[in-house]
Amino acid sequence: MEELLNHPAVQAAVLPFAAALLVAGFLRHTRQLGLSVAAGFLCAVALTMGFGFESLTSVKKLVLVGIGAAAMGLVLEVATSQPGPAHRLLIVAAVSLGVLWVLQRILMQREAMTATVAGAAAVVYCLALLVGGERVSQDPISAAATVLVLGLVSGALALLGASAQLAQLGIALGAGAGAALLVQMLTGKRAPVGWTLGFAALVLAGLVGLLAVFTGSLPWYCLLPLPFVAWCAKLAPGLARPVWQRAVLTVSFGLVPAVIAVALAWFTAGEAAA
Amino acid sequence: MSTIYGRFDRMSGKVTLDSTAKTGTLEVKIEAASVTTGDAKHEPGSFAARAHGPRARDEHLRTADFFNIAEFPELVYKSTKFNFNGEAVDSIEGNLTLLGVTKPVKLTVTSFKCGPHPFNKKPMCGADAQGSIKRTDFGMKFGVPAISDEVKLMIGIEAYPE
Repeated sequence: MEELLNHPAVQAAVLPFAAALLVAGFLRHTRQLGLSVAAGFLCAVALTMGFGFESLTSVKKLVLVGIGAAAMGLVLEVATSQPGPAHRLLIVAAVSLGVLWVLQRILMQREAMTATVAGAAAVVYCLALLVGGERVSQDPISAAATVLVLGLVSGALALLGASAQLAQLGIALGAGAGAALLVQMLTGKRAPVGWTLGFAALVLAGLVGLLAVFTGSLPWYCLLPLPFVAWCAKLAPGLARPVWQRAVLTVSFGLVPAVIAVALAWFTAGEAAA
Repeated sequence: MSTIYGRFDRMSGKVTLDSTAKTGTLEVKIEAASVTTGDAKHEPGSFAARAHGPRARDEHLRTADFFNIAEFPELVYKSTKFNFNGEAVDSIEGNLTLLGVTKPVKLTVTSFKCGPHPFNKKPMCGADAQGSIKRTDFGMKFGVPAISDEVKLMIGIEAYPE
């Protein structure tokens, strides 16, 4: 049993998916379906790195930011059904601070100008993911498909960037979103999903990709296609099609930029190591 | 399945020793990025790339899974006490700081010799020290237990008087 629990695929995909599916089953009629993604992610954290925070590394900060983002999403969801300018400003400020906090120690090792540019680029990248996420926030299928693809591709990129732990966290996000999508496909009904479904998951997917660049060997330009995942998912036709068909279409469309990103990482891996 | 031997190629430090007073100090700073295990690069299309992917083990060791060099570029060992057996140093007690976590680590000195250098005849001392740590104590949890938690340390020191 212990051997099974220590298997990377079980830690990153099987058990997080099962945990997310359980939560998604309970929350499928509520606007808090996004919590199933959080359940899958936290399951992976518990199995891979635990919740000890003796030394606050960037990966541990990522987990804390994810928990904070999930809590913030819940509060905002309860407070309002549509985000106003004040909410957007709050989100931008919180995400910017969160990203910079996660990267703080890494940026402090660099020269001021380099650190400023890198920090600003990291914030812009995460915000770009959120802007894309908002495009699909009104369609629960596209929203879950976007998180599914972004989670999996961030995990794949982290793996190609030589960090297996980050890869596990990214894949767990994808597994959680997959559970939220599967519940809708099985029931044939779109969930009354709120606009914050993807919020925490998108922030986390963004941070997984960023840490693969900053702490691993992933070239930064491999992340450039990822903000287009949501836009491509939105382009998928068949809004009135049955849920399962719509899910397959949105995931397929979202995979286009994801595949480009993975191909970039794969073909540049040998060069980066040189 | 087997033991992987790695080493750090760049380090600096200072050792002081007073055999009469039976005291000494040791401070070593190790550049984490200099870790090598003989697997530095997987050439595209090579057997290693096909079998294990495009990233080499040394690259993996530098990421957040292990030494996390972007955040923690140095490992530091500072002694707290030298233990002597007669004139020779028997063991060194001290603290190792790895990944931002400081834990006590005792090094057993397996060989200790002072005298003139065999070629240039300058006075010097040399020592071999061994110890072991549990990497999870320092928050390096990736891959345990498939990848061993226990890491054996083997340190060779040669020092000339200032």
